[in-house]
Amino acid sequence: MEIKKSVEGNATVLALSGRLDTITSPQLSKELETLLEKEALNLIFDLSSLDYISSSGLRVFLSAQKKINAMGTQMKIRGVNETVKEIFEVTGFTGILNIE
Amino acid sequence: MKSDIFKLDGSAPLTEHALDKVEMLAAYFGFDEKDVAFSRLLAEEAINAFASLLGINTGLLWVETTDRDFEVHLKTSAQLSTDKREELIDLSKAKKNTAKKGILGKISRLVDYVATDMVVGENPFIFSNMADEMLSYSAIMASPDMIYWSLQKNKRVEEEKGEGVDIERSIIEKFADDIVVSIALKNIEIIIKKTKK
Repeated sequence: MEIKKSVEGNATVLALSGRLDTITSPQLSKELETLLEKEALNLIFDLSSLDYISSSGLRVFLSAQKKINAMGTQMKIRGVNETVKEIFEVTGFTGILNIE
Repeated sequence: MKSDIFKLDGSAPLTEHALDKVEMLAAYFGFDEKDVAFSRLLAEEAINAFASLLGINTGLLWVETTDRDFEVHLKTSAQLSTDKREELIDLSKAKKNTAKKGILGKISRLVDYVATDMVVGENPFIFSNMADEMLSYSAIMASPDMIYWSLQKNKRVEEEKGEGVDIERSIIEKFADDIVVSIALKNIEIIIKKTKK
């Protein structure tokens, strides 16, 4: 998985590509830990190039959402493909996360 | 067709190798792109479920196919503690709600009974009686000392979902067409079946 970081207005964008699974989720988790310990920020996940997500990846998003909620900022997920969208729906994450 | 058997030891390289093979075999089987991804997902979540439910990350994984079915087999061997067994039994009980009567219910009760400390080696008399009783279910048994229970996909999963439902389990229940779990003393196997539409 590749993570590209950029800034859009007052939000930090993390564009993920490849697979977010058991193998790669620690990489995102570590990136978020570093990012969120520095400052309270608005976060956008761009999943346009993400092919696959498993429960391990979902847990990272859940953890990020909890931190964002505690900081009082916003988190948004965009660019979800059909396969990933179905996994979000099946697990009920569409009701927990802000998915465009 | 039965694939090669892939060893799992909890390490990333072996896990990734096994999942890559599942994906490759699913494509060869004729699944479309989405179902190939879901086949990989089912295999990954089965591995995760074993790890989270049983605390086990070592085992063997392979794929078996028929004309219509794509099966991911995950097998491990362990002497489960009472707590771990209970966690596994909890999983089967949740499914049993879809078949409270009939053979699935009876099998589930047998499983509950066998999955106790006294049966595993401590009281051969009880196990012998159970084995005799299980013979009456030969239609779904491979051998007298094995128990199988088939967990047909629960179409009412949504109704049964609670806040505590595990993510792995939600995914498996949604995308698998059947889930079969077998326990034979220390041998634990889960088969996740996906059927070609």
